[in-house]
Amino acid sequence: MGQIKGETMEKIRKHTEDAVKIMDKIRKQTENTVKSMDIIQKSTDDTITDTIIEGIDITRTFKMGEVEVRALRSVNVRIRRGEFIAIMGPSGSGKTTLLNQLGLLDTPNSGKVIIDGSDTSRLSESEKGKFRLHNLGYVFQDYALLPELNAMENVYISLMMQGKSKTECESAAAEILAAVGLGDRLQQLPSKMSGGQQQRVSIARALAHSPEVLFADEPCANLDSETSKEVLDLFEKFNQEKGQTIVMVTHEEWHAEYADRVIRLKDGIVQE
Amino acid sequence: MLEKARVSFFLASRSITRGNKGITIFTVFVLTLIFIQLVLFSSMLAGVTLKFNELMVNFQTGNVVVEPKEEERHIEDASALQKKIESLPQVVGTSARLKTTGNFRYKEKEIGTTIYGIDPADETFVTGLEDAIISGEFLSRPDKGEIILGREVSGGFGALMESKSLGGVEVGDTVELTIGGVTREFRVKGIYSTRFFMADASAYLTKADLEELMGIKGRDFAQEIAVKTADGTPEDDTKTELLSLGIGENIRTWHEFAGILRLIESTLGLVRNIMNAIGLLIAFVIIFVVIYVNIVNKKRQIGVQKAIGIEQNVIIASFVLQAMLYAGAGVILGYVFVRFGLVPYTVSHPVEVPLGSMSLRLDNAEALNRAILLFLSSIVGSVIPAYKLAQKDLLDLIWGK
Repeated sequence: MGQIKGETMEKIRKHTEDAVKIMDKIRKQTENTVKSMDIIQKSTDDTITDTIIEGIDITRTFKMGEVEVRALRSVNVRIRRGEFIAIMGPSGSGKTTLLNQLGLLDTPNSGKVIIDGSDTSRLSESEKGKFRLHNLGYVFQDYALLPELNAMENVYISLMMQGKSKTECESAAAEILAAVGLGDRLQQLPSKMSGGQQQRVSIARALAHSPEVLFADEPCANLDSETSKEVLDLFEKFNQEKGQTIVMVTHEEWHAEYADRVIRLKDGIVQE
Repeated sequence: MLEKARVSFFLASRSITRGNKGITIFTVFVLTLIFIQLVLFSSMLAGVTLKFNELMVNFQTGNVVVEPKEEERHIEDASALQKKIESLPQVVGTSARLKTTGNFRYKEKEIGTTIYGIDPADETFVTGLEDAIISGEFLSRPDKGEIILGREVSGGFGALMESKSLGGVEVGDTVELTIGGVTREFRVKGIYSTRFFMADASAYLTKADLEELMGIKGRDFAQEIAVKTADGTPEDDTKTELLSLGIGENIRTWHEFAGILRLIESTLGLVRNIMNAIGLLIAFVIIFVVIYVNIVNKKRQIGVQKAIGIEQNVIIASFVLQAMLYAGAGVILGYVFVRFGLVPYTVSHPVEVPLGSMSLRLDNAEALNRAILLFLSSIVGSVIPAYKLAQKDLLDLIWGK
């Protein structure tokens, strides 16, 4: 009777030890899970605060006579601060249309664009103008310089509009033009410059007021390969050295290699 | 606000200095022509009015006219009054005239007209009648039975109302003159033309002859005394001084005397205002078209400016400033051309008109008025197209649609 009682006690002790071990394991696993949850939460928070542009459900439709063309269909994009993004896709895929929505040059039919935490769909046209003046920069395919202004004046016109003094304007323009390699052509009129030089002035103009985001719509479309490389090297330099966020539309794969990430579009839908 | 104006001015000045020179020159040229047109018509009418005034003073009234008191038909003791008037230092001369109406008869023709009896020596100090003789000679004091006729009376010599004249009387011919039922024959000694219709429709004979015809010989009467003053003397001052001499006769400046001229002046003024309104309307349309074409060519530039954040009102203001600078240049060039070119030229080379030799007369106040109107036209003419275009969709502008 005594022997049976001793065996039973021994079994209970073993089971208790096993139970404690299992409890320890569960506790450890729970701790790990909590840690993982913390890491995930932190990562999510970081992603949210680092987002400079968020396009939510953007739809843009154009009317061409009787035909309705849906250029963008519920597009969602998120671009982080300091990212160099290339938007690619075949002709008519909606690349430029997307750039125009993100750059506040156009207004989507539905959806919204949030830039640096500001919901731009709530801004009036004149408020959008002010927002562009202070926060955004543009480089167009055909340079779009004002032909009656010289290189320096083209660069500082937006600084003038911001109310900066002539001295401030001139020194800022001279500095940025020197940075794009045109320090010796400050007084040159666009008509006296090559395509590459004009595009560099255009880049200087876009960056003179230190915008949050630089938008470039096929900036190398009218340039030869060598000049295109110079322009893209400039983008890379400003992106890497100054952390400049760049959103660039291109149809050349080798241009996209400069970018951190590629957003591919097809028929107005993001393929990425 | 100031920085916006600064940007507008900057864009406008660069556009003018570095933009298409052809467009700038063309626009300024058109605006110059418009300004000249606006000013020229006024200057011509002012010249015509001035000419009328000169003719009136030089051939009819002198600067001031003394007439009988209200209730009297004559100035009595005219010679004494003449001496009194001539005591004023600014008075160059006086002419006491008898004035009546009479009927001329020559061959089958008969006309009624105004007849003056004058002292020829006195008259030459007051009017330019002696210099206006185009055939024969002027009267002299001892002349008897001789007469000078205006070309509207004699006919010929380019008379404007030939059919109402005597139909071609010549120097040496004899005409019959009837005054108050008394008829006498006169030999035509001279024919004059002042080119002033009112003056040319009269006839002059010596005061002695007319006194005889009117039956007032030796009475020293006059119907009017024309007073000529030194150049630049204000007529109103002379009138005041004559009144202060105790002259009780009716004294009127030539301007008060010439009621018909005031009528002509106000008619011309009305015509001038209508022409100005039409001129301004044309100016507005031309400015609108020129600036509209200019702006349409800059559609893409406006789009780019809007894209990089230049405010819409700054862009509009830059075009308005451009238009105002064009208008300013047009006004200055037009003014310089008229003031220092056309006016001096017509002074040295007067334009021959039926009234005589006429030159332009530029009134600075009127020129300023036209300049302001042109500026207003340029503002309205540029605001409308600039506003319309700047309002367009940003992408349409960038794509040049």
